[in-house]
Amino acid sequence: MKVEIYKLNNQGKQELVAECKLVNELVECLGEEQFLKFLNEDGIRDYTQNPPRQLFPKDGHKFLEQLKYNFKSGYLSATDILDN
Amino acid sequence: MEQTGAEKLHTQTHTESPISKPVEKTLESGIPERESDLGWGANEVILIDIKDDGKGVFKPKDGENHVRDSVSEGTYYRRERAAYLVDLFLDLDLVPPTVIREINNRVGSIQQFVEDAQVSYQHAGIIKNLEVELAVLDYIIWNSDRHRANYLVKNDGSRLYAIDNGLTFGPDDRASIYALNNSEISDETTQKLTNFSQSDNKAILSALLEELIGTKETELCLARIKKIATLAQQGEITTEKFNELQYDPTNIVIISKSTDQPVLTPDHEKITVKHQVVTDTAAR
Repeated sequence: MKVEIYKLNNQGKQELVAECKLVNELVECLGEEQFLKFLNEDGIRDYTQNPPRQLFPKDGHKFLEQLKYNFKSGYLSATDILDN
Repeated sequence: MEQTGAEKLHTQTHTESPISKPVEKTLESGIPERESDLGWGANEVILIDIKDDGKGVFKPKDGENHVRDSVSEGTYYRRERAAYLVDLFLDLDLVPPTVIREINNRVGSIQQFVEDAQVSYQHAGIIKNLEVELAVLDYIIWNSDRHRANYLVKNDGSRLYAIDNGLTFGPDDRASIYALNNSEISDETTQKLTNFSQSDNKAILSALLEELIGTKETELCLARIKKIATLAQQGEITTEKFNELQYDPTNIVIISKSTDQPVLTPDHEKITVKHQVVTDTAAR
């Protein structure tokens, strides 16, 4: 299982920023260094919780599942969970 | 898809704002030339090339999906426009021009595409005052969804753009306004808040917002403008004041024991500030 995250460039084309894969119940992300640092340090929000809590790659499937709810602006967009 | 009466109101005969930017006309009536689908994610997002006039980020109503219980899908596009109007009337200049229009028989919000910008996580040196200003806006529009992936940075960090404003104005129990803690709102922003509070534009903004988000959320929004304008004049926002803002009593979600449904508190009722208060509203 994996999620791809894309960034929009000035020409209106999407560029792959990172790919996050579920490996042994943990998420491993590969891609742009700044973005990976952001994911690891800031984490993302779990909107199923009230108040939302932060999720990090160590949270595994839940992290993968919530990526698309965090990156949905168009400037940065995450796919649904895809097959590897 | 058949439009509701309310949608027709917004796309055909909505109240014109007396304050606007020229680019709004382009967004409203420019000819869409090319569409690029940007998303598979939570909501549909389409980049539109407008003939001879730049690009816009279009978010169709029928491409909205459930993200959270507090803000219903099918209303995000109106909230995008409402957030822009608040920004415009307060002269904060943070939200790119955003209008509601129909493209290929789909109604939605379209926001001017910001060129040459970076997503904020890519930028380390953002000017502190700007983040405070962004938090002022987020407090007023009660944005619980601001994070470093949904504001843009330009010009070496001297210019911010607040994008992705669909999850706003709703009864979330807190707003993403951490930059306000132990901060002072700049004299310039304080002046803007004061100018608005003393102007006739309040009534105009109120009428425009009511069409988009309804009376209750409009009243709460205007109450927050009043509150932050007062606080801005008092100097530093201490942690105590910040906590009062972040968990604004007018926005706390109360779950009724009898119905198990969230209900809004009466506007000016003072209650204990917590993340979530569980109570039997019938007994209060």
